[in-house]
Amino acid sequence: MSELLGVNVGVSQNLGKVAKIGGKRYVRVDMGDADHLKFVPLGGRLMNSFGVGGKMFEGDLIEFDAEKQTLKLLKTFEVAKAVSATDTELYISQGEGADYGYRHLPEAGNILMKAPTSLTGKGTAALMGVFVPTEITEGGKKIKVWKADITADALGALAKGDVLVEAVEAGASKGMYVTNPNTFNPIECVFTNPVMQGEDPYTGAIVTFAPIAEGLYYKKRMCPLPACVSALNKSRITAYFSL
Amino acid sequence: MNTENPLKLDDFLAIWKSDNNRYLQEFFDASAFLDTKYGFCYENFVPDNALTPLGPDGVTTFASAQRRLSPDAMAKYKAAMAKNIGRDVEGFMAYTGSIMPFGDALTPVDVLAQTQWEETEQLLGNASSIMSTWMTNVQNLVNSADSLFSNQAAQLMSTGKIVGKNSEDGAVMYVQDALIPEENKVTAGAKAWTDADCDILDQMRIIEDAYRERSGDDQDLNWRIPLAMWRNVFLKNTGLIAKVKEWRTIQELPTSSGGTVLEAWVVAYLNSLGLTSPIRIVHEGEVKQDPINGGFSDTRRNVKGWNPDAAVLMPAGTSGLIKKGVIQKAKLFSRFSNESAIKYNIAYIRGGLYAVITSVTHDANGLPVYHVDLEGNSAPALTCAPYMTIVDTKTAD
Repeated sequence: MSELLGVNVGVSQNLGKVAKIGGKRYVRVDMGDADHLKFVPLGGRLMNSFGVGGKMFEGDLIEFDAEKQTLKLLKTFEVAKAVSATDTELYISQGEGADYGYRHLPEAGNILMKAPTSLTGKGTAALMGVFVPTEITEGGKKIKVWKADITADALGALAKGDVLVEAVEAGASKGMYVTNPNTFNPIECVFTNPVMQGEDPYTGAIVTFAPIAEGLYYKKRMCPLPACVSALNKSRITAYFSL
Repeated sequence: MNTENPLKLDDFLAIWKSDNNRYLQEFFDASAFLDTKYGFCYENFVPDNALTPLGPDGVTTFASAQRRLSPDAMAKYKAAMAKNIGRDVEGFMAYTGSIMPFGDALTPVDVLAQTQWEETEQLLGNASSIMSTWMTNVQNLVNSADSLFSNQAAQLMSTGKIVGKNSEDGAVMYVQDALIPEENKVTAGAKAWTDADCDILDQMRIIEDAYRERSGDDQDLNWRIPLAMWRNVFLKNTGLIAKVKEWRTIQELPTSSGGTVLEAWVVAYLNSLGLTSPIRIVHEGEVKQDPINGGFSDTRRNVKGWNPDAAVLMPAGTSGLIKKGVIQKAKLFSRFSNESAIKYNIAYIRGGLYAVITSVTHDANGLPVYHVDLEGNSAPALTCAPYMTIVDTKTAD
C-alpha cells in the first residue's frame, strides 16, 4: 500500500520511463466496416494477464468463455536460436525488423511448451525462470531476444522459428492452455500493473475487456501462429486470417 | 409530453426520435414513473456529487482518506523544566479503489414492433398501454442497477470488500477492499451466537466495549443484524426469550404468542435495556440470473450481498459514498455519433450513477431498430471503514 500512496519529503528518486504512445499497427484487413467494434456481450477477465511491461496486440487470439466471463490470451513465443537436447539456454525473439516490440513478453512463472501439432495435442512443458532482455548474433544479424536458463532437454530440441505456447501444467504429455481460440483482441494494451493475487486489489490489477467474434487480419502482422492454430484459418485468401 | 390529450404513439416514439437530446431525461423527470425497488444501498450510501476521473491508463480510481481514531490519554505530571515525552503523530489512512462499468439492455426491436404499436394504437385509440408496458421494462432495467448497488453495499458493509462476479464459478471481474482494520474483525465471544444458550447481548456488549476502549470512539453506533440472523438466532435464543418474558411479566403484559415472543417485544426490551447500541435489522436481497448459455440461464436465484454470519457494529449515519465515473458509451454517443446513422437520447438516473440510453439505428435494410441500454460506471465506497467492527457470529473465541 505504502508504495502506491507514499508521500516523501527529503528523499529524492530518479528514474526514467519510456513509452511509445499512440500509433497503430496496421494488422486488420480494412473492409470498410467496423468489425473491430463488434464487441461480444459482457466481455470478461483476462486470466493469463501479463505483469508490468507486457503487451497484447490487435489481432491476438483469445479463448472467450461467455458463461464464466473468462478470457485466455493465446501467448506465442518464437524461438530465436535452435536449442539442442543438451543446451541450457532458451532465446525468445523480441521480433525482427518491423515486428520488433510486437511480441508477447515471456515471464518468470510461465509454463511453456513447443506448440503441439493439434490444439488438443500433448507435449513436454516446463516452468520458466526469469527472462532477461539481451542481444544475440544469429545468421550474421544482431537480434534482440529474451533469454532464460532452462534445464537440458526441458522442452526437447527446438529449431529457430518454432513457436512456444503456454501449457496447462509442467511435465510430460501436457496440453495447451488455450485450446479453443474463438475471438480476437481488438485493442492494443500495455500492462502497467502487476497481476492481482487472489482477491486483494492492493497486489495488482484485474484486466477486463471485450473481444470481437469476427475479424480479418494480415497473418504476417499477427504474433507468430503455430501450425495448429494456422490450421483454423477460415479465410480462403492467402496471407489473411479469420476465424 | 402532452398529458391532457390521449397519449399518441408519436409521443412515445419521440423517446428515440426527438431532436431534443434531453427529451428522455425530461420525460423520466416529469413522469416520476421510476420507483426504487432495491433501496438498501441508497439507505446507507449517498451518491457522490463529484465525478471520479478516468486515468490515462484506463482506470477510474477514487481515493478515500480516513482518520483512524486512537484513544487519548491525560497529560502527565512533570518537573517544570523537564522535557515532555512525545506522543505519536497520527497520520491518515488512504486507500484507492477503482469503479467498474456495468450494464443491461432490452432486446432491440425493429420496424415490425413499430407496426404492431401503430395497430395497437388504432385499436385502443391511444398509446398509453404501449407506454406503460415499456415503462415496466425500463423499471426492470433500473431495478437491475439498483439491486447491483444493493448487493455491493451489503458486501461492503458486512465484509469490507466487494467481490464482483456474474456467476458462482465465473471469473471475478471486480474487487474493492475498504481495508477494515484487522483488529476490528472479531469472533463471536465465549460462544457462537447460534448456540441456543449463548448470552448474545452480553457478548455484544463485550465486543462493543472492547472497540470503544481500543479506539476511543464515542460516536453513535448501531448494530446491523441481517433479517435471517434476527429471526433464526435472536428470536430463538432461549436466554433472550426468557429475559423478554420475565421483563413483560413484571409489567403484567402477555408473555407468549404462539409459544414464542414477538419481534416487537424483543426490540422494546433491548431499547429499554440500553446494554448495547441500537440494533438495526438489515433487509437486503437480490435476484441473480447467471450468464449460463451465453446469458440465458433457466434459473434465477435469490442472493444476498450481506454475509449471513456477520453482525456489524458501525456508525449510525451514512456509511459512505456512491462513486461515479464517466460512462464511456454515453460520452462517445454524445461526442461522436452521426445523426443520420444513429439517433440517441440519454437520461441520467439517480444523479448520474447510471444512464438509460435509447437509440435508433438504421441497420436493418435502412429500417429503424430501437435500442434501450442501461449503462453505468459507479460503485459504493465506505467512508467509515476504520470505525466498523465485523463479528463472525458462528465462531467462538
